[in-house]
This record gives sequence, C-alpha cells and structure tokens, in this order.
Amino acid sequence: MSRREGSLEDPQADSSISPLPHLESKIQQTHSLARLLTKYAEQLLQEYVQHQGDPFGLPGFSPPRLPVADLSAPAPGHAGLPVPERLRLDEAALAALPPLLDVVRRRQAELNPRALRLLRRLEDAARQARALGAAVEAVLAALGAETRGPQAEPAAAAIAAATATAGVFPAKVLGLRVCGLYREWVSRTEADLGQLAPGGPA
Amino acid sequence: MALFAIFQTTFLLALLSLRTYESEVLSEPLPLTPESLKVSVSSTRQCLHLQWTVHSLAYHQELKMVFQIQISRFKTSNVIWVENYRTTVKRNRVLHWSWGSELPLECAAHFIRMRSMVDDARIPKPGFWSNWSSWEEADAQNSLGHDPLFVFPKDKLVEEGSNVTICYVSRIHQDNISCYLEGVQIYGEQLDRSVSAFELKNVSFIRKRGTNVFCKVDQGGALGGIVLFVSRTKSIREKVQVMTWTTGKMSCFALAMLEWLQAGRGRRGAAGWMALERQPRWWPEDPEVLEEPKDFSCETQDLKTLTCTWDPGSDTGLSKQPSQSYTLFESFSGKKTLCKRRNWCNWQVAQDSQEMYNFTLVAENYLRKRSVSILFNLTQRVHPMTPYNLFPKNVGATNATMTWKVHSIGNNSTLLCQLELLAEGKVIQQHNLSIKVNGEYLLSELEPDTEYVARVRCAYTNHFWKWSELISQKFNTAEAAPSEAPDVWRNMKMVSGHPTVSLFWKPLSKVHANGKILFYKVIVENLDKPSRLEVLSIPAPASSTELTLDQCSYQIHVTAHNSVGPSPASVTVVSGDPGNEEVESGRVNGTEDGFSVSWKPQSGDATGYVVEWCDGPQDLPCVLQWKNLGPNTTSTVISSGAFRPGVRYNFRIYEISAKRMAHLLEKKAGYLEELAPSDNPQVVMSNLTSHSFTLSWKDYSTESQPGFIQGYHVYLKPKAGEQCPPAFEKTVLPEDSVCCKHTTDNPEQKTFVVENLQPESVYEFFVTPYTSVGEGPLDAFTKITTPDEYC
Repeated sequence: MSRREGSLEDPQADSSISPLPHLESKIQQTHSLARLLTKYAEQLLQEYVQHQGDPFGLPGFSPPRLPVADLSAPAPGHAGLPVPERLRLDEAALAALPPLLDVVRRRQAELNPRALRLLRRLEDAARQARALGAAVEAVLAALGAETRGPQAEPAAAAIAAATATAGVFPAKVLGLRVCGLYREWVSRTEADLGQLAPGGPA
Repeated sequence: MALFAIFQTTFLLALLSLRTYESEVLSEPLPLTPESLKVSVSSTRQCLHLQWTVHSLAYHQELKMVFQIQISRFKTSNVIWVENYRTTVKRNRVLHWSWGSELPLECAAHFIRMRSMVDDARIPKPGFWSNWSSWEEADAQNSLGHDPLFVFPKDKLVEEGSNVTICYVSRIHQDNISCYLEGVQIYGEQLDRSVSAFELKNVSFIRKRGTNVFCKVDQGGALGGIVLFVSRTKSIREKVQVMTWTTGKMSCFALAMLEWLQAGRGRRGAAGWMALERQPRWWPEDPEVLEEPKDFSCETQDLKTLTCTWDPGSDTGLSKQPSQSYTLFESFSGKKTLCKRRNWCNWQVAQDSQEMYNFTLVAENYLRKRSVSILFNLTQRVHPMTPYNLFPKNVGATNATMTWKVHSIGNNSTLLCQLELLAEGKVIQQHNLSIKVNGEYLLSELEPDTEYVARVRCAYTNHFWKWSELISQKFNTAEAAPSEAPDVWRNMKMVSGHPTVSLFWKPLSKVHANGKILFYKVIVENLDKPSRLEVLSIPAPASSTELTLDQCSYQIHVTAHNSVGPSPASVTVVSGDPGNEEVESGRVNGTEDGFSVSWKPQSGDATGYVVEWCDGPQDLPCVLQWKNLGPNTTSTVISSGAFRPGVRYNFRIYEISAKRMAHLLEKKAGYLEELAPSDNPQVVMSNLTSHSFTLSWKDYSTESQPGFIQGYHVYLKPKAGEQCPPAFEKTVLPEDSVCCKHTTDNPEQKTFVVENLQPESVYEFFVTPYTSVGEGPLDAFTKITTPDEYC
C-alpha cells in the first residue's frame, strides 16, 4: 500500500493554477483604484471651482451639461447594461478624458499660474485616468470580453484650438465640465467594478 | 433790347468776376465728395476704423476740409454719433478715422456715412456740404458662432473706477435671460429683441484673475459669459499713504486696511497717518499698479557704454496683460532703445563726444505709462571697473611691494587708487595714488611672519562718482631672526651628589619670535675649564632641559632659532655650589590682584632680580614660574590665574649679579586667602599619671595647611562637676556642651602637659589647630582615665 505524504489532495483535481484568484485580485485592485480616484476627482472639482471665482462653485450655478469632444456623461441606462458593456464604455471614457484634462490644465496654467496644486491635480488626473483605463482594459481582457480596440484620434486638439480663441469664461466652463465628467466616469467605473468584486452582486 | 443788354452785361461782369476770383485762388470744382469709404471692425479695441479718399482734387493740390461723419446703430435712422473731422486732404491720399464704441460692436450692427465741405481760408465762405456717401455697414455679428447666447466684450481689461458696458446677443428670442456679476444679478436695457446692454459704473478691482460676468437662459438653458479684468489705478502703498481718518468717518475700506495693517504688516505714524514700510507680499490678490520707476541712474565704466538701472517695482502683469515694458529715450540725440531687461539697459555712447545726456525712462503697460528723467554729464558718471592682477612682489620681513592694473578709461585718463593694508581685519595703512594703467606701491613697517591683506579700489580722477569694487590679496611677510633673548631661569639641586641645574625658558611672543621657533640651542661653557664646551640642540616646543654639572662654574647661553637665525642669547652663570639657603623668611599677603612681594637689596651692583615660585600646591610637582625684574625694583605684584585660596605659595627672591649669577636673597610665603585648617593632628597621649598626662603631635606639618597655623586649641572635658584645671578656661562647644579650653600661640609647640587633674577620673581631650580664619573641624574627643594615686 502506498502512502501519500503531505496534505490530502483530490487526486482528480487539475494540477494547474486556477485563473480565478488572479482575476479576482485584479478586479479587486482595479476597484480599489477606482474608489481612490473617485475621491481625488471630487477634490479636483472642489479645487477647480475655488480658483475660477463666483459663481463657479455656488450651489445654483450649473452650466448646461453638453458633450465635450463627443464625450458625454454616463447615460441614464448605463447601469442596466451588462457589466462587460459597461466596462467597455468606462474604458472608452477614461481614454478620452486625459487629452481633455491636458487642455484644461494648459488653459489654467495661463489663467491661474500660481494655483500650483490645481495644476498638479489636473496633471495627476490625466495620468490616473490613463492608468485606470488600462486597468479596466486588463480586466476586460481577463474576462475574455472584447475591448474597444483602436480608436480615432480624440478631438482634444480641436477643443484646445477652440478654447484658445473662445475667451476666458468659456474656458472656465469647459474646465468645469471636464472635471465633472472625470468625476462622473471614475465614480461610474467604481460602481461597475463593484459589481464584479468579491462580495458584490453577481 | 436794352434789358437783354443789361442782362448780358451783368452776366459778363459776373463771369469775369468769377474767373478773376478763380484765377486768384483755386481752379477746382467744388464740392469734393468722399469716396471709396471702407469700414473695418476691431473687436479687441472695440473700434470702427474708416478710410476714404477724395479723388476730385487736382493732382498737386492740398486743401483743408471738414468731414461730417454719422454713425447709426441697429438701423440707419438711429443716429448715435455725429462728428466733424477736420484735416488736410491731398488727391488720392487715404484718410483715416477711428471711433470707439461704448457698446461692444458685436451687439449691434453699425452704419456709417459721411459728407464733406471745404474748410480752407483760401476759399471764401460759406462752403457747402457735399452729398452724403452711402451708408456703410459694420457688422461684427457675422463672425459669431452658432451658440444661442453670446456675451461681450470678451476678456476686456479696464482700470478700476471706469465704466464698462456689457451686452448679450441671444439667438433665441426669449425674455427669460438673466445676467450676473460675481453671482449677483444685474439689470440692463433691452436694445432690441435679441440684444440687451448693462452699464457697469465705477467698476471695482476684485481679483487679479478677473471678474466673471455671465448670462443664462432661465430654466437651465444656454449660458454665455465673459471675464472682466480690472486693474488698480493706485497701489496699496499709494492708497494707504494718502489715507487719513477722523474719528467716526473711516470708510469700510480704510477699516479693512487698518485691520490688515495692524496684523503686523504696517506701522502707524504720528497724528493718524499710516505708512507702509514694505509692499504686502502675502496679499494674494494685489497686483502692483504701474508706478514710476525708482532710483533711475546711469553710469559708465569706460566712457563707451552707459548702463542705466532702476527699480521696476512689482510686475504688473495680469492674466490678460503682459508685464510692463521699458524704453529709454535720449533727447539730445533723439535716439531710443527698447530695454530687454526690466531693471537695466545699456546705451552706446555716441562717438561724437556728446557729454550731456538727458535720459527719459518710460515704463508702459496696457493701461498706463510712467516715466522718469535724468540729466547728467557723462564724465561725471564714471564708475571704474574693478582693478585686477593685484599681487605682492618682493616680499620681505618688514616690507612688500604691491602691484596691480586698471582698465583704461577713454584716452589717457587717470585714476585715483586707494590701497589699504589690513591686519587681523583692521585697516592699519591707507595710501592714495594716481595711476593710468599700472599701480605699484611699497608697503613698509610691516611685522615679520605676519599675514596681511592688501586691497585696492579706484575712482575717476576727473570727477569722483563712485569707487570701483575692491580687489583683495592676502600675503605673508617673511620670517626674521627672533628679536629678543628667551626668558631663561634655572633651578639648582643635588642629584646623587651631583649639582644638577634645570633650565627653563618661556616661549617667545609672536612679536619677538618673528617666525616659527624651530629649536633652542644651549651652550654650556665651563668657566674653570674654558676648552670644555657642550652644545645642546633642543627641538621646539620643549621649554626646559636638565644639565648635570660638577663643582665648576658654568656659563650657559640659550638662544631660540627660527628659519632665519638665532635670537640674542640669554646668559646665565651657575656654580656647583648651591649657595646659602639660610636667608630671611617672611610672609606676604594675598589680595585679589595677587601677591605684593618686596625685598631689601643686598649688593649695590645687582643687574636685576628674579622672583620664583611654584604655581601649584606643594604636594604636587612644581610648575616653576618666575618673573624677571630690573635692577632698581624692590617690589612687585605676582599674579597668576593658577593661584587658589588655601594654598601656600613660597616665593624665592634672587638677586642677579653683574657676573650673571643668581643669589637667593629672601624667602616669602603667603596665601591668596587663608582658610581654616581642614584636618586635625594625630595626638599621642603619654606620661599618664594620676594628676597629669602629656599630649604630643610632632608629626603635624604646619606648612601644608590652608593657612598659617597660629597655634592650637586643647579642649578638655573634666569629670562631671569638676572645675577646669588652671590654664584652661570654660567654653561652650557648638553642640552647647560645656568644656575647658587652652590656647597655645606657637605653631611649633607641638606638645602640651595637661596637669592638676584628679586621680581615678575620666577626662576627654581633643586638639585642633587654628589660623586667622578659624580652627580645625570638631572631631571626637579621646577619653583617658587617670589612675589611682597609689598605683
């Protein structure tokens, strides 16, 4: 009779490492990142309005929520979509945001050159949006879902050119809109990943 | 017929007059209509610009004319401006005229037309107006985009206190558009169905980043806005400096300013005036208003280039306004230059020997211009360049030659140079001399082996304006042979039966050493056997040596040597005979200055005296000290930082004879401060009888006590009830016990017989010394019992 030493194992089990713990870890990490960036996005928005003067930041001031370079806020029906589809939309938005944040940062550097913390937050936001977008893309790939694939060049250059000639006030409004979109999309991403994270709804 | 003749004559006369008139003045047909009228719009300046010509003039003719210009808004019938513009006109010369609009041009279509009239003195009045030109339209609205709501003017820069008209153009014909300034609603006038205007009077400065003005369609519709940049007209400094108040009449602004300044940024002067010492650096929303440049000054280093400098004050740049620019004008030459730097500018001196310069520095930004002027003679503004190549040459022990060069100024100019010599940071010599290119000066009366710093600066001899910068050079003078003989002393003793002399010397001071002392040479010459000579070389920093002699006499030479040579010699004569130690002894008193030691001269041919002592207590190895004194002294004060209270210092006074031999003259001993004895003698009791016993403490050393022992106290406690023996008197001890005490007054009397005692009785005794300060510590008594009388 042979004796098996060590821990008891199911001899029928596959000896390769299960991919599930790895995917779960990735989802967990991305979710944590999204949660952190949601907090940062809120801080960015607060910092932004402080430097633009009244009425920016006042409760009754709400410019029209128009798309910026074809980027809109998450649609009302977003939460009803399948999770992979939601994540695809999140990823697309996160990829579109960095150039817009750069445009806002460059304009703010002219308007508020001494607002170093604001400028730094805008720079960080662009970088963090890229990082979160890449992480979401990795999650989608791990799930076996299609990613968005190569995209057309963003319209940020056109936005930048238009902003330069449009005047200071429209530039302030654009910046407010972009910071708002950034906050909405990282918050949306956090919620969507929460659906996949362990402990979340299946 | 006659009537016709009259008419004909009249006509001919009139024609003749007219032709005569025309031949005298002008031959051009009148009136002259403006033509080719073109209108352009400048949005940044909010101006309409007109240009036109008058073709009908003769080719060579110049004529003074007046053009009446009408401007209408919204429709041609709504004339808002009429102006007569007078100018001189030439054929086909393009004429220009501009008009600034209060209302932003984007908010309304404007129409312009004009007519002309000759207004020349050479033509008799009255003239008559030409026909009106056609209305030309200036429509700035064509370039607007597709947004539903626009606000103008875009990003305008104004001075505080000025009036500004804001307007909006709505493509949506709605009545529910409201506008806000810094979040507060403002109300205006509707000019037509899609345009409203708001006049802002006396606008205030709010922040450097500008003031937001926006309009929105109520119920969450379109939004449009601008940012208004308001620049201060007076700086904080200017406002505060002119601010006064009387009780109860301080304005809100002044109150706020006062609170801010009282927080520590300002200082209140007398009589209610407040003055700001420095610009507020921490106030985040306070751009400086362009002020007149301060401290404007020009100078030249070489009579070829002038450098003008000034204090520009703060940067007045706003988000919409670049920093101020500076331009330099010179009125005599009529030239100008735009300065690349904000606080200095170079100007090439004219080659045509222009000496007088009248400079005007103009500081200019978008809103205002400030200037300051100076007038000066070029040759009175010479600030020479720093001299160079300052070197010492031919440096000796007591002198050095300094050389240097200067940059030439003009042709054959002379400079006044000032040479200073410093030692230990202080100027010890100063010399002025005139030079053209090369400077040279011999510095003398220097100390050997000493570090000095030489420094030079120069000024323009023709007219002093400023000294050049200083150039410095450190150097050291060379060593010289020591200038003084070392201070040498000797101590004689017998070692194993041989006379041994210890020689001591003190290091030479820097002033006398003239360099680093490398070694000491000791030459011992046997006076009784002159051929015997011993030479010792003792490396520095040793300060003593020991020589074993015999009974002969010796002459000892001691010299100190540096790299240059020896010092003068110190000569001492010693003999193997230790000499008479039995000399007069005395005491000296210590004071806070030291010991005042005096002596009586013995022989009349003393060449000097030496007082010798040990610096420390006697129980430690002697650190020999001595003091040399001249032949005519009979006293001195010996001071030392090593003197301590309670230590006996023994002074030995020597007389130095003409033969350079030292003879002990006197001994003195003293205390800087006497103290009470610190311990008591060991007392031995002997010769006990029924009526007496003997106490002795012969081993007690009186010389090693912290004061001069004057005697002893013998304490005796007799049997209870018994009286004190004769020679004792009753006393009370510190612990309040009664006792008997006997005092001796001879420190060398170290025995005492206690007698007149009772047999078979217990007695206790205790002996303690005393000085001028007090007695020794109270110790335990020793008990004895006298024996029976019949034992």
